[in-house]
Amino acid sequence: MKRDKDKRKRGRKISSLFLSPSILGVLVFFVLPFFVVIFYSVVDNPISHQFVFLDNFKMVFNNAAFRQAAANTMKFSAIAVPLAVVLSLGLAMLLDSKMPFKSQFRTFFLTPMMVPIASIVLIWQVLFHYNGMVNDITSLFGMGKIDWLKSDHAQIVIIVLFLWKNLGYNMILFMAALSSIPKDILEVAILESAKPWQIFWFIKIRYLSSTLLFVTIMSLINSFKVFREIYLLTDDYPYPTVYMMQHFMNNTFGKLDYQRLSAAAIMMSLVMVVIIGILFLAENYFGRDVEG
Amino acid sequence: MRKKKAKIFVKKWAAVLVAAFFAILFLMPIVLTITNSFMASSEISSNYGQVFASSDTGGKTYISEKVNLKFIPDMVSFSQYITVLLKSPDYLFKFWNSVILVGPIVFFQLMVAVLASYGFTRYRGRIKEIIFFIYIILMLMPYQVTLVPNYLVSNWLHLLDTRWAIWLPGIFSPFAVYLLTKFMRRIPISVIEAAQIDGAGEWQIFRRICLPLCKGCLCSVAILVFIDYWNMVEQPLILLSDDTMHPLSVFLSKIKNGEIGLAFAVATIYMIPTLLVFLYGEDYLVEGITYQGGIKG
Amino acid sequence: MRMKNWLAAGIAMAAALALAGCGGKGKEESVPEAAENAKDDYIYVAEYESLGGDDYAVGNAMMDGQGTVYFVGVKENKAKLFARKMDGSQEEIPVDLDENTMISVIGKDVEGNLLLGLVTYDQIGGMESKPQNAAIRKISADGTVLQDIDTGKTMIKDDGFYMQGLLQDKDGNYYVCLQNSIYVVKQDGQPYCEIDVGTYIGSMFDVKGEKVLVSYFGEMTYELQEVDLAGKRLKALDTPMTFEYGTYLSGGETADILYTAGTKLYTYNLGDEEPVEILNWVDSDIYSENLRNFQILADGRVVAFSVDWSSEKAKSELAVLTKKDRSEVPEKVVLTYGTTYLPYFAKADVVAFNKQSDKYRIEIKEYGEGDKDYETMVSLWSADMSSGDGPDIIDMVYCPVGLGELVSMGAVEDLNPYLDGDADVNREDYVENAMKLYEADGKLYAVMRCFGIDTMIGKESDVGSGTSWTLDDLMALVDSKESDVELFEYTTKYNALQMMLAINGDKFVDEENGTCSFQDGEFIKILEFANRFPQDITYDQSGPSSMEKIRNGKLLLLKETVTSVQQYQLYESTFGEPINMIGYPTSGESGTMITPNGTTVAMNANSKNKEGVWEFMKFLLDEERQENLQSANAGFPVLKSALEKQFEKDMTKEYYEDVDGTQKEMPKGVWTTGASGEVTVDVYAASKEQVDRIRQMIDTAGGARIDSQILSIIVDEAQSYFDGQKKAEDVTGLIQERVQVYLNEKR
Repeated sequence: MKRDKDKRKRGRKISSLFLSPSILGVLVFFVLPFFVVIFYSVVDNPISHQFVFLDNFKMVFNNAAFRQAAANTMKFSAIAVPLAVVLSLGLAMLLDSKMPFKSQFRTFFLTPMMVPIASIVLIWQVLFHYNGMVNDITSLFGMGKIDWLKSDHAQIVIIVLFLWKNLGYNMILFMAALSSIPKDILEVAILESAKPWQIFWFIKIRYLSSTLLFVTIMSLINSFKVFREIYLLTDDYPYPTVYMMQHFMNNTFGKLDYQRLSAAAIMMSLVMVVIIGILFLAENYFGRDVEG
Repeated sequence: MRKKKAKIFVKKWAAVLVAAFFAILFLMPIVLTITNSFMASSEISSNYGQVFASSDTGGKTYISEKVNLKFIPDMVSFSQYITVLLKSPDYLFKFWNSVILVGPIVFFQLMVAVLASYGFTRYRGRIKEIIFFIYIILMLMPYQVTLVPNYLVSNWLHLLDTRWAIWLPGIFSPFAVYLLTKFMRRIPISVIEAAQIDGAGEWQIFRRICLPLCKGCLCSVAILVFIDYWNMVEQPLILLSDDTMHPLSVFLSKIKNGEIGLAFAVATIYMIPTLLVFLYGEDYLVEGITYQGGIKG
Repeated sequence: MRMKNWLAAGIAMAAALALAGCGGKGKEESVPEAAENAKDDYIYVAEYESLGGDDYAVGNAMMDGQGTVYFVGVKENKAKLFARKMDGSQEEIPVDLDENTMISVIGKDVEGNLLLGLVTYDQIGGMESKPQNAAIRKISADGTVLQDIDTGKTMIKDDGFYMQGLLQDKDGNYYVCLQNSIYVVKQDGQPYCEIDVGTYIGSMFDVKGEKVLVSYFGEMTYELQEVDLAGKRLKALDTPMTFEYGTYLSGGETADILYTAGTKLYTYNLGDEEPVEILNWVDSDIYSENLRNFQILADGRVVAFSVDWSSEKAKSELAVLTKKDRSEVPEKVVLTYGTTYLPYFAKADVVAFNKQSDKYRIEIKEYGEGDKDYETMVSLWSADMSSGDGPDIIDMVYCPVGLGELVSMGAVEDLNPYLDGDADVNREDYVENAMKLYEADGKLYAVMRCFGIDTMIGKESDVGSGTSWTLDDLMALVDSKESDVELFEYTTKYNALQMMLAINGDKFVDEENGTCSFQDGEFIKILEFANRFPQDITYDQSGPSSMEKIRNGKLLLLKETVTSVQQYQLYESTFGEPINMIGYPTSGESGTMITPNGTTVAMNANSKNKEGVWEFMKFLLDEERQENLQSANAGFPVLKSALEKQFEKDMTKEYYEDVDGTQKEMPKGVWTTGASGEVTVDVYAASKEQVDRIRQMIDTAGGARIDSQILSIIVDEAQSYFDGQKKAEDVTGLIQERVQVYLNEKR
């Protein structure tokens, strides 16, 4: 028994050794910069380094533009991330059914990942231009012209862009999870004449719960990455409904306002810690029993 | 019985139709990029002039009233490719820069990450969970926030203006660690414990059991990391002041009005490696995730 | 299995790439580092000497590989040829010249003999001397005439004739470089051909006597071409390098080509991929724009001849640069001058400062070097600033961020304590409006050497004689004219919009409360007014000049930065009747703005050598520097006494004696306007009224520019209204919303 304990201790040490290169690198190239960010957030400016404690946070929090950016970003994530999860699950179920050209479709859905950002932005600008193709199509159905990027519809455009880019990969994740559901359980269910929605709800979703959370986190990550496209698609100061956190940060960055940039970043990280923490707890709660 | 068959038939093709609809939407931009790269610049500017015309252009250009999204060029022209490939070696040079920057990052990030994720998978404890959590938070930091601090750190380490300034943060990026750990934690503990009882050491378990099981997902992570860095713009711009070291993605992000046609051609060329990686690696992308399903089933 | 192989191959490739990358990188890294170390080890130290002393004016010099400098000194309209050896000894080489003959240029052949280009004029001095005859003379180093070739009038095409280069190749052909062409004469004196280059020639030189190269501004780039004697034309050089604008000379023994581009001296051998950098002139306190001739000697020293035209009397200077170990040179405190682009005047100021200061040395850091876009420059600059590596001296004209941002990031030092603490400088001595330009909240953040006045100029009969006008006045003026009358030259919708808004930002934006009001009728009126102008304009090369248009009443206003009294006089004569510098339309008091027109610098608050930075600022504000601005049109000095002196000079008449002995007033300057310079205007001494108007302008100027970000949003949105896609009301709504976001963010 004691020998076993020693062995575990040794194993623990060795496994930590595996971590060391990564931790060392992350400390230098990610944690250290993060501390610089924290430092900037509590000084009056990056030159004179006067300690001002929470002044920057107060200033940023009371800034109307910051609030707007935060609200827009939250709204975007709150709509886009669940949509990305649900739609990609739908696509995965679709391709999971016995249908022809399955692997071709799978490849097609993945292509958006390949297109360079510059092309995406070019094409999106052409599509959603005032005289662009989308307006041509909608006018066929008797709808008036919409200035997509400069109206309250702008959020729709960027949500579509986000979905277009990320559905494919999410779908793959779901397809993998779907195919890993033990076949015998499904067969038993069919034999016991369970209705399709019961199979979906009680078996598939239960087995997919871990993947669901994983996809949610990945979508959240990607929803932050898609901002580069949004930024290129719009402008430094776009129509207010698509004024995102990224705009606020990029603009304060351009103005050398590091203290505000850092304060905003830390506030954003705190929100993120809460969200990811909840997702983590949820995963631990739901995921364990299936993962074994 | 027959009726049921017909029902299945209809269902099947309805599914195909729905999938086809989505497929067309998904394929459109990539098809557009490729076909438009075969248009002469005059055709490009007459189609898109309105979108990209800036207010300070002095010269008069023909700009059509409508913005035409054209899939098929009026006349197939290779002029853009000739410019890119033959006339100026600059683009090929930048392409090579991309390869030099991205190749090592993908390879070494995976090396570091696979080790780290094994560390995270084995003997999970509170401290490791916290570290893992920190990794995720760091991964979510937007680039504007980290760019200047990154510049400062590179400056302190005297890495500025060398490729190491791009390589090192890339290699230690927590992204691959996160993905691989997520995958690795699904390997049934029983498989590893069985090996442990056989007396295998940690390194052997990693080398003999874990690594082969992860091969698929390593490949799929490699694809994601590759795409991520293949499209990088901000890091080289700031960290490499010598623009002869800049990758092609930097050029692509700064297209000027007269260069749209060129941009399509460059984008097409730029997509080729991604396309190849996908064509060869797509099966792994799926397999990498489904593999442990096999073990279970 | 196939997949497995592929994976293996992929990893192998990645590894190979990584190795190749590392290997390649290792190499790259080691080379520049070594070079840098080497560069840091030594420095070229310059010793100066005024060539020709105080007596002779020297405009022409030529040197050989041993460092003997042959130069022409002119005194009392008589030219003499001198040879100055490296040991400092100087002797005259006797040249027998006819009456009214000048040595226009000195050249050499492959054997070391001298070539003289001689031009005979009908008279010497005065304004109207005309060239009569041109000749080439070959003499040995002691002055013995070897050959005399009289080309008569064949080379002379107009009164502006001069020779700028002369050489003889190893086959004995003489090449004369004229303004726009190369004239070739056979050894026997027979004219062979004239090759027209079609544009001003930068220089002509030989490569080891075998090839003759010509440098000039081509259609797109700077070009170096070879003279093809058989084809009587220029032919392209087959080299892998593209040349940039610079001064190109023969490399003599050391290399094929020796040239200065930017601030650096390079050697280049035909066929090489890249040139070799020899030195940076700035490091040796030499202002490279003034360089006329330079040569690397066999012993490694560098000789440079430059002429400085900035002061009253042209200063000719010979510098001998000796490579020295850094340790031998007395250490100076190094200050950095940070800018995104280095204008010629800043370069001159820095070099002049370095030369006279034995305590400080300014080194230049150009953030825009290479092909960088604006955002990258901002990032690099700000990263430097925040890491404490920022430049000590910040160029405010070419600074990537505005004063407001600099102040809010605490980057710039308040200069008032320095002004107060320094007995040598009194704020009252300087033009108040110019000092106010970089002032905020009672703190002074930057000083400039000289300034211009940004304004709109129109006939008094059109714009009235007031000191400012409103948008309504401007619109009324346009409405009162025919529809083909231009408001100002090449007015597009965008130009009109920008002009109307130039200093009217405060009309629509309330910075204090962070609100804006673009949706009222006033702004729509501006949009509609701007929309009356054409979308874009084609520049008509053959059309009437702006002067003709103004005089015919077809053009109402000129939009200019006035930098001298002479320029104001020019506009008076352009308009042909009384004018008024009314400024941009505004509801405020003044529509004119003061803009910096010379070196304008701020002090980095983080600088470790603030005294040094202040020294440089004092140097710029110093009487001697203020009274000797680069050229007549460089701007108005900020020092009041220097400004008054300048005015005094502008009003003083100068005379010269004509051929028939009558006294004539000499023009202060000759201005050419029109597309191809066909209209010339002579500007004479100014009247008191003219100077008073300028003085009044300077005293009242005080407009503030509209925020460029707001302007760019407005222009961006106005586009769809101008294109007819949207209604003005929709556009103003969008502008309102976007500007509001911007204002919110700023608070």
